[in-house]
Amino acid sequence: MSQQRHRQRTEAAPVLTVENLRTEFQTDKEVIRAIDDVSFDVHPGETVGIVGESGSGKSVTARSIMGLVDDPGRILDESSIRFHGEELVGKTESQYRNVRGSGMTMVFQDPLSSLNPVYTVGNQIKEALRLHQGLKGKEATERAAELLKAVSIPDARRRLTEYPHQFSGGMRQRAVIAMALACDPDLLICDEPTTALDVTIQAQILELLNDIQEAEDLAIIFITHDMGVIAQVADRVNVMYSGEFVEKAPVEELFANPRHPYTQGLLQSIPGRGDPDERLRSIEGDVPTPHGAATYCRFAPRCPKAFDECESIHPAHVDVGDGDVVHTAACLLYPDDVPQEEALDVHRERESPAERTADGESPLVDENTPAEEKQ
Amino acid sequence: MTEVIDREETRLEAEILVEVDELKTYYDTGTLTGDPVKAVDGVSFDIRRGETLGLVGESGCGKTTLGRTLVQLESATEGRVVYDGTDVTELGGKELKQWRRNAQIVFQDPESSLNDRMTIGEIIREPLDVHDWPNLTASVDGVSDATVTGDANRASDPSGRRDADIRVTVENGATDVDVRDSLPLDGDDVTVDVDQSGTTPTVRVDVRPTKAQMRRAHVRNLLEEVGMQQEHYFRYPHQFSGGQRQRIGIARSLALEPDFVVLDEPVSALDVSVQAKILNLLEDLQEEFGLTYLFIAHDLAVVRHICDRVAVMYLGNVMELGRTEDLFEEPGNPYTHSLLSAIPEPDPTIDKEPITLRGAPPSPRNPPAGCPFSTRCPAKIRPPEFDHLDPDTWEAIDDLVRIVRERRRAERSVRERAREILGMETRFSDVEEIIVEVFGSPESQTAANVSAERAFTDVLDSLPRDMRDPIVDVTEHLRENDEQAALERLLDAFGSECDATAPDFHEVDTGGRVSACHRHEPEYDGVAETLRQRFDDRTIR
Repeated sequence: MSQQRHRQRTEAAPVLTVENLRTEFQTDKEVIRAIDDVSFDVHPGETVGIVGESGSGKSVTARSIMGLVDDPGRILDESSIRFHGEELVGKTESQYRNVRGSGMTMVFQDPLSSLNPVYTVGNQIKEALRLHQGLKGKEATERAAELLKAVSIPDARRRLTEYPHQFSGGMRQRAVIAMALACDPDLLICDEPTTALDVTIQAQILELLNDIQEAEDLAIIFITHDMGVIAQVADRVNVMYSGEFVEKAPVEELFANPRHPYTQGLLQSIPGRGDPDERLRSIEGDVPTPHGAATYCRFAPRCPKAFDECESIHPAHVDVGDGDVVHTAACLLYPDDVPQEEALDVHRERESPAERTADGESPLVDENTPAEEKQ
Repeated sequence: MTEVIDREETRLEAEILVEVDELKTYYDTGTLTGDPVKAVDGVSFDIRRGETLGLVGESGCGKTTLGRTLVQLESATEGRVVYDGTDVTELGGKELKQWRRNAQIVFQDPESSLNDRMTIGEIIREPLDVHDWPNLTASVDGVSDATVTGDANRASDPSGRRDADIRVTVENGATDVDVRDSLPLDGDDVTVDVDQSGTTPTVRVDVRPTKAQMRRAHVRNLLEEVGMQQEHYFRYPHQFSGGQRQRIGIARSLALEPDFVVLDEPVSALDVSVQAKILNLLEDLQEEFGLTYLFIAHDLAVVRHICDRVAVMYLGNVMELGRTEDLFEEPGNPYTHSLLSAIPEPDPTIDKEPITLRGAPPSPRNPPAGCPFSTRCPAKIRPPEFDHLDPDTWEAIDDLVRIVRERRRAERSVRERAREILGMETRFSDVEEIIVEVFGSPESQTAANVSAERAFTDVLDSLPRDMRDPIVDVTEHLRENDEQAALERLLDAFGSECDATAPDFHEVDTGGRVSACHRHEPEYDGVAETLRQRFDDRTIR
């Protein structure tokens, strides 16, 4: 097993397409634009990573896709989330339930809080099987034991009769993954699935996810704040900051050639990479809470490279990759092969129509746009 | 340059601040609760003055308990913790309280370690109030046997570790007063009267600010010291982010000017960019105040960055201890190997094959008899008569051992016992199935038309001949619900030195690094060599 797969993106249709996703939380005091204009797609068999600090909107992105955003949150109308081509935005709760059962599922960070402490693990897996596959009785027990075996839990038959507290942390997360597999998913959203676990257990879970992915040709959205984990599991990475994607690139490209100042800062603040005697570089300040649509760069207050225009122009995604590599960053420093004034014009131009577009025909460069867009 | 390093090293070699000797901390030691939880099970090491000793290990390995025992938040079951010549496990009452000024702790979770109903100022001030800070001390030079009266007490031991707060020098009738820098006092806040008329001279020290004023000023200084502002004094914890809360926790731990600080996962709850800031702060504070740290963490990258030496813990025992760089570059113990190999590198081009450990650490209530790591060890010594078995079979045997161990732990409910007595099927009755699951090929498990007994005999037949007897015996024992006998039979057949005796420490490099593993003994192959053999074989196959 190698964690380093250089998967080619398949020509097949994407499993999931997210376009111009905007999620807002309206409270009496203020409106928080937790997700602002996020677009990406996921193809069968690939892992798309979303990485960022806490409070950057990673989990809200996942919950928006799963239809789990509760009042006062709502997904704005021009957003589009298509699963196998089927539009999910605007579905009622019961319609959404069918989608969740038929191939889209999620694994949460804390396995203890996603399991019910008063039911046996077997009971909970069987519940998922009953709801999603209509299995009952002996048949369901058989299948549940198979699922536990599939996630490498030894002595599965006995384990089915145990309660979550009798499982170790890693074993619980395996059980949660088994429940997720019960609905035979095409898309698995993992929201920090290994953050609560030790490194040796984390390695087991990552290996397991990788094996399952290879066996089932599963598409995975992997959310984490750990750059090390992202480097191992993801094929493509989206760096998220304050509700927006600020950089998108294939994983090797992102680590070898980070272009957005935020990504650069994130990579530099990882300890143990450079000389241990050197001080760690850090990013000043905290992730701001985004209110309403941005007319400026949200990272500007913390950015070491910020200049005056960063306060007045909202950066759009521009191509920063070499040759065929699909690599975009939303920063006014780019494109860096033209004079700065011209580069700023590119962003100014793109900003205004983007805010108005409602039909998904975004003029922003996203990863679907061919690389020759440059110049 | 070399001179500087030399000096630093001699300083590190020179003085031992904390000496931990065969320390054990057990929980549930009552007679009714059965076996105690052996959280820390016989640990010995030294911490030198001014160094940062890292303590790493998986959750549940006892590192936090050890840290808490060092600052006497837990009482040791056995063993000694010698701090600067005093065994602190023996201290009690007033002495213990007095000693606590020297040793402080920063907790992991900044959300729960600050009282939400107190202001930041009150939180940091609390230790000062508890210890009636500043208990000023004065030393008097130039006059012998002077009595100190007023706001200060005579410094007990002029050569003591702590400098006196106020130094009075009497020379030719003139008095010179020197106030320690870190106190919030100016020269003119202190007045000193020397009265030499009596039989013994009397030195009267008067300090203008009240204790409360001094404490407030000290808290304000501390806030600035940890990178916050004085205005934050009257705010509440909920108004601050995780990183700022951790700074407050650090300020509180430094309030009594300790020498030794236990940092219990101080950055684990923080984002990486915030984490970098706190690590930098901790390094600055160490330099400024000459602190000694015990840095507890599970993040090895953080440990590598900040620690001078590292102790790797597993199941209440220290497995390896040595200089950080050496330990990371060339790990000695199999557990250190596995731990390092499990860290995800933030570099997608590194094509490393991780040694993935199977299973989870055993319960500290029933640790294995021999080496604590023997249940998961990737380099475990195997009996030579079974040399011919392939890696998959070994993996299966190890799995079976873990399952039996696990079953021994699992208690039966009343209902299950009743079913057992009535001869009905219970969750413990599917022994054959377990053997098929563990040793069978994938095909034998999916073949639904084969009966359970048939599948079992097929699997048994497929095993090498010398393995069959022990496996049949184990199956018998399990069927009789005698897991203990089954485990003994298994270890008797497939176990080795690792299951029988706990390994001793062996020195593994010239820098004094020690590692506990039977593989360091001359009659066995080395750890790195074994791992290379076992894991390369695997990729070739």
